[in-house]
Amino acid sequence: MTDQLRAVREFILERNSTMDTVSDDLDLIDSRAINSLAFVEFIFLLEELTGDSIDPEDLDLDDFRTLKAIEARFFTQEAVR
Amino acid sequence: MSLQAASASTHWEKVAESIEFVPAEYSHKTQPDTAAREMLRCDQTELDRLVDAGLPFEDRAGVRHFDVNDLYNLGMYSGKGNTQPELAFRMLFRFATKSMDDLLRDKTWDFRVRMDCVDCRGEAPWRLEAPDVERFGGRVVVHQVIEPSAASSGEYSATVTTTGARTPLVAPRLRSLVRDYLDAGYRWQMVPIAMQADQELVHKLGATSCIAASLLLAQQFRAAGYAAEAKRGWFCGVLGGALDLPHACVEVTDDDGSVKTVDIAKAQLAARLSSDTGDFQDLCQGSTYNKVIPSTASGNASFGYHDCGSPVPVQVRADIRSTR
Repeated sequence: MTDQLRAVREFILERNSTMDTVSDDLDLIDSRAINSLAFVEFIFLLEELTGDSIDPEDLDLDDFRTLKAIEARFFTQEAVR
Repeated sequence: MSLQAASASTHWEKVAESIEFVPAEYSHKTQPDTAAREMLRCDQTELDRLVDAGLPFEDRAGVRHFDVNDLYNLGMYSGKGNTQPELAFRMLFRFATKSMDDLLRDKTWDFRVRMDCVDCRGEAPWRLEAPDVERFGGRVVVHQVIEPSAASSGEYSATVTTTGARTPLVAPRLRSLVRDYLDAGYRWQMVPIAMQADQELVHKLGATSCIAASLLLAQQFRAAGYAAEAKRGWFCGVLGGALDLPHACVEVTDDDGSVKTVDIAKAQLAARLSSDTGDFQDLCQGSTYNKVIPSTASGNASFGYHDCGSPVPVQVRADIRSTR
């Protein structure tokens, strides 16, 4: 696991005291692990981790649905273009 | 400064004094202590101070619950810089500091609306106040309409293209009324939609909001002899639908015979968020821009109805995404 994904996981666990782990396939939106307002903080975290600005207009919730999707969209070589 | 020190230095009492809490008749206290602390990035002691300073709450099973609008407004005006409402609006209004040319070009949206009739009484037609963009140079290609059905939910989808145009108000009287409104010093706040329809109450409190401002300004335009109506629409690009920001503006027929849109509350909100949003504030005073999808709904009306006889309003959720 990359340091970036570890930071994402820690962010989610910090905000969900009843959760012990976050599996790669957990639906973070439907499970409300990230609620609508924490979602904004989450985007700022991703910007900090990637060093890139995220346009709120271009957001696709599916990119944020699981840790696996987040890694593919933001933390892989293909994502860092 | 450490987070703890920053928290201790927040003058919550002054913040509480500076905003108008939602009156009891419009208040829905659904947010528990934990959600309040998370939204405001504060600890229990600070929340206690806010309650002592007048933040309304309801005690249910030993847990305090708050109105989400009150929490939003406290966060927005806290000056902390790290509350969730401050972060949300900072991100949402990034576009307002950029080149306005980007707001004037054609832009295409995947537009989906889901309507839920939570207390459905049976089969009946659905009515959606649909996107109404053609009048302002836009286009709509409908993919799915909502047929009459007994189902308690229905969906509408379309591809909507919006565009913008610089069409500032030309009538001196209209410009003067807009200037008077801006100079009146109303403070933008998150206000429940039902309360926004009571624009007199909102303005009496010294507050403003998109719907309330549009209703008042439309009334003043009509009193000055102009055809004007407050209309609702969708403000696009709101974090994948994560933030529900009601949109309304005034449509007024100007002296040049054109219908202009005045989105005065958005101009006020932009001014509050950043001083370098002057171009956007100008755009809100007569011009159209591509982040708004106007609808056929009037200023204080719902976007959707199910004619089954249920007294409970239909819930309308929009998912609007920029096409990639």
